[in-house]
Amino acid sequence: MSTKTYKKLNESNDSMAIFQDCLTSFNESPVNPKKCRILLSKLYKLIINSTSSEPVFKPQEATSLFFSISKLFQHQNNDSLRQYVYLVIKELSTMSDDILMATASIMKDIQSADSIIKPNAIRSLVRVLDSSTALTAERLLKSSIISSNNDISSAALVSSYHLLKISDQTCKRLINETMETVDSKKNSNRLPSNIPAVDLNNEEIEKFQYLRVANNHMSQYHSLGLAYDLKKNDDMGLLKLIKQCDPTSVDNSFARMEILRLSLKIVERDSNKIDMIVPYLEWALNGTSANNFIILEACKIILKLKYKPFYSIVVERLTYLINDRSISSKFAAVRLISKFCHLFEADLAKKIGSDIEVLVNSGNKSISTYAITTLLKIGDANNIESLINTLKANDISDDFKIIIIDSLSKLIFRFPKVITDFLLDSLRAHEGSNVLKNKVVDCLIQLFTEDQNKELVLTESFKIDVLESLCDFIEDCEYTDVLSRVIFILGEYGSKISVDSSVFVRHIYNRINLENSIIRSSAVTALAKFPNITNSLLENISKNDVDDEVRDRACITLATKKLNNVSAVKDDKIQNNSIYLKQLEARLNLYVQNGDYTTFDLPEVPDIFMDDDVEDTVGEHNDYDIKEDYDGKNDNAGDDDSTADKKSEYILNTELLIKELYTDLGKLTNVSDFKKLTDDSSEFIIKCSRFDYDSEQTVYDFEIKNTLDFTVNNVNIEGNELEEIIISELKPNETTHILMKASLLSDGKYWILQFVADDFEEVFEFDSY
Amino acid sequence: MVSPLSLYTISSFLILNDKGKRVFNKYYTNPFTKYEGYEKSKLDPQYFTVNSVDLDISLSKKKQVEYEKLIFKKINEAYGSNTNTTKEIELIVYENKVAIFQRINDLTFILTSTSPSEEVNEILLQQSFEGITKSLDLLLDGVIDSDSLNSNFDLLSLVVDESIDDGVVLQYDENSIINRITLMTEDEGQINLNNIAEKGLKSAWGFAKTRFAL
Repeated sequence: MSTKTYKKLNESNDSMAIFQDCLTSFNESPVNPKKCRILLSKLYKLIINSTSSEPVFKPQEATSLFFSISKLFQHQNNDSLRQYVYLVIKELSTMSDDILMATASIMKDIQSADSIIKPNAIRSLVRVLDSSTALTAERLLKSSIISSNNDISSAALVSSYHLLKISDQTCKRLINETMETVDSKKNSNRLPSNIPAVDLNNEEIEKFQYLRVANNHMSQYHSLGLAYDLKKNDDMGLLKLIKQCDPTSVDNSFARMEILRLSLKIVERDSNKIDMIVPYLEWALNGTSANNFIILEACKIILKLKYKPFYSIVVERLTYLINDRSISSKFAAVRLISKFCHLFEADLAKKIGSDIEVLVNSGNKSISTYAITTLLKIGDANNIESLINTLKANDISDDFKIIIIDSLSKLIFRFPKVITDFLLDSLRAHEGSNVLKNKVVDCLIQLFTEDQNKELVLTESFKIDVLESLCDFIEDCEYTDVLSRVIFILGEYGSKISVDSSVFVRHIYNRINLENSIIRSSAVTALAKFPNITNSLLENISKNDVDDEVRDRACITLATKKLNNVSAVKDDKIQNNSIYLKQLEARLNLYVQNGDYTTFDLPEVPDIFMDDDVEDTVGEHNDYDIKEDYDGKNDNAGDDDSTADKKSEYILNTELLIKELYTDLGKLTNVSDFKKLTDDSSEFIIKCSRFDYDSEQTVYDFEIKNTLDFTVNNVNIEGNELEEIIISELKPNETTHILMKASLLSDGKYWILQFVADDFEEVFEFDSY
Repeated sequence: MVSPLSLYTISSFLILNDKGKRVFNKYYTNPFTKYEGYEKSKLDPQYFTVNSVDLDISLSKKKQVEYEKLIFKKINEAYGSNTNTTKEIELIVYENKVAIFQRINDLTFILTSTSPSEEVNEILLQQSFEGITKSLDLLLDGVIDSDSLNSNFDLLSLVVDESIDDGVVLQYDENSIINRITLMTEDEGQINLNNIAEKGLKSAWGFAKTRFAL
C-alpha cells in the first residue's frame, strides 16, 4: 500500500472510518479542537446526506459515538467546538436514546454566563427532552426568554414553540414572559453583556459599534408566534395581544407581518372588528420604509376580506410589486391578482392589465402563465388570439393548463373557434393528466349544450370539424373515462348533425371492436342515438359481445325501439319527483339487502304516502311536525327531502317487521303519521302510527320511550300473545317499538301497558283513541 | 393544514450538485415528530421503509431522494441543465409548494415552503433564502461551489442552523447570522470575529484561512 492510497483511505467518507476516527480523537487528552470540529462536520455530513432508510449507525455504535462526543463537554472554553457539538447533538437526538444523558451538561451551559453558544445550548435542550422531563426546562426557558440578548431570547422562544407539541402545560407557564418580549427591544450583541461600559477605551468602543450589527429583533416575531399559539382559543386574549403590539411599535418586519396575519384572524372570527385593523392595513400599505412582504401581506388580507375602500391603493401597490426586481415579488403579486382580479372594477382592472402584459413574456413560466390567466379573466381580450398563441408556445404544466382552461371556459362563447382549437390541442397532446383531459371534455360539452340551447350559434361545418377531431382523438386515448365521455359527445351531438353522420358511427363502432367493456357500453349507448343506421350493428353486439352489460344495453336499446321509441321509464316521473326517487332508492336498498331477487315491485313504491287524515286523529295533535316525532331532534324545517327519505325508509323497515309477525295482511294501503298518546311529562312517551292493509286489517306501531331513570323489563301490551313482541328490557331513555294487530287489542276505553320494574309488576293504562 | 400564523414556514433546504446529488439537505418538521418516528422505528425496524407512503417527507429518506430527483429534473426542464443559463433567484411552484432556488456555479440551492402555496408569503421566503446565500458568500469570500462547501462544511451547516430552526425562520439578516458563527482555531483559545473585528469581514476570512488551512 503506497502512502498515497493510505492517505486517501484515511480521508475517505466511509462511515466506519469516520466512526473510528471520532472515537479515538474525542477520547484524546487534551483534544485537538480543530481536528474534532472537522471530524464532527464529517460525521454530520454523513448523517444528513445518507440516502438510505436504514440508520447510519447501529444502536450500539450510536451509543459509543455519543459517549465520545459527550467527552467533548469537558473541554471548556472552546466555543467554536462546543457550537458544533450542539449541532451534532441535535441531529443525534432523533437517532439515539442515550442523548438524554447530555441534559445536565447542556443545562449547565445555559446557566453559565452569556456566551455565544448559549442559544445553541437552549435549542439543543428541547431536543433531549420528552413530555415527562419538559417541565424541568421551564425555569431555564423562562429566564432565557426575558434575556436582554435577542438571540438567546429567540432561541428560547422557538424552542418553547417546538415544545408545544408535547407539553403545552410547560409553555402555558411561559405566557407572561412571552408577552413581555413581544414589544421589547433587545440588543443582539454577541458580546457578554456583563462587560462594564466604563472599562472600554475608545478603540474598544469602536469595535463594539462595529459588531453591533443592525438589530432586527427577530425575537418579537417568535414571541408573537408563540403567544398566538398559546392564546388561539381565547378571543379576548388575542384582542389584547393585538392591542399591545400595534405594528408601528414593533420594529421587526417579520413580527409586523405576523401582526397583520393576526388581525386577519381576528376579523375572520368577528367581522365587526374590521374597524380596528383598518388603520394597521393602511399603515402597512402606505409605509414607505416597510418591507415588501408586509405590503404583500396587507394586499392579501384586504383582498381576502374584500375590503373595497382600499382596492385602488392595493392595485397601486401590487403594480409596484410587479415592477420590483425580485422574482418572488413579481410572482406573488401576479398570482394574487389572478386569483382576485374578478373583484376589481373595470377601470382598475384595465390599469393593472397593462403592467401585467409585460409579464406575459417573462422567463419564469409560472409568472407568464399567471399573467396570461389574469389577462384572459379581466381583458376585453382583443388580443386573445395572440395570448393563446403564446400559451401554445409556452410549454406549461398541467396544473397551469387546468387554471387556464377554467378561465377559458368563461370566454368560450365569445371566441369559440380560437379556444376550441386550443382545447383540442391540449386534448390531443400525448402528455396531460386525466384531470386535465376531463376538464377539456367538460368545456367541450359546455360548448355543445350552449349551442343546443341556442345561446350560441355555431356553424354546422365548425361542429363537424370539432367532432371529427374528437373522432381522431378516440383512436388513441389511454383514459377510459375521458374516452367514454368523448364517445358520449359524438353520440349525442353527432346524431344531430344534418349531414351524413355515418362517419361518427364508424369511429364509434371501431371502439366496439378494440376497447374494454366500459367503453363498449358507452359506445353502445352512443350508437343507439343513430337509430336508422345502427340497428343491425346493435343486434350483432347484443348476440356476440362477451360482456353482460354491453349485451344488455344493446338489447334494451333494441327492445325500446320496438316499442315505438317509447323510453322505458317515463321521463317526467324520474326527473320531477325526487320523492319518488328517494322511495325507489330505499326500496332498491331493501331489495338488495333481502337477497331475494325474484320480483321487484316498481309501481308499489309511489303509492305509499303518509296520510294525516286518518279518522281517529286526536284533534290537538294535528299541528305538530312529523319530524319532531321521527327522530326526536329538531332539524330545521324546510328539508322535505330528508323527511321523505326517512319516512319511506321507516315504512319499508316497519312493513318488513310486520310481515315477519303477521301473515295474510295483503298489500299496504296507507300509513298514518305518529300520534302522541301520552303527555310529554309522563313516565312513558307513547306514540302510535297505523298501517292499513287492503285486507282491511290494521296494525298499530307503538313507539315507547322510557323516561324513567331505571330499566324496566317485560314490556307488553295487553292482548298480545306473541313472544317476539314482548320487550324484555327497556333501558332509561331508550325507545322501542311494539307492533300490534288491531284485532288483537282489547276493545274498550283503555289499553294497558304492562311491565316489570324492580320485581314489581306495574300496569300503565292509557287512553285509546 | 398549517395555520397561516404558524411559525413553521420552511419544509426543506437543499443544496444539490450538478448531477442532482446531495451536497447538503435538511428537511424540517417539529423535532418531536422526528423523535416519535424514531421511537416507532425502534419497535418496528421496518417502520421507515414500510410506511414510507404516509410518512412526512422529513422522515422518509426514500421520499426525500424522490423529491430531490423530481425537483432537479423540473428545474432543468424549465431552465436548462446548463448551470450558466440563469444566475438569478428563481421560483417555481412544485406540488403546491413554493420552491425558491438559485444556481450558484455548479450548485443548486433550493428552499421549499411548508404550507400550501397560497398561504405563504413568497417575499419572506426569498428573504430567508437570501440570508443563507449571502452569509455563505461573505464567509466563503465569494467562492461558493461544491469544493468550497465541502471543505467548509462546518460553516455551511452552522449558517443553515442559525437561519432555520426546524422550519422556523430564526434569523434572515446575513450580518446577524454571520455574527453567530464561530470560526475554527488551531490553538486552544477561541478566536472569533471579536478579536479581528477592526479589520472587517474580509480580513476576518483571510485570518481564518491562514489558521484553517487544510
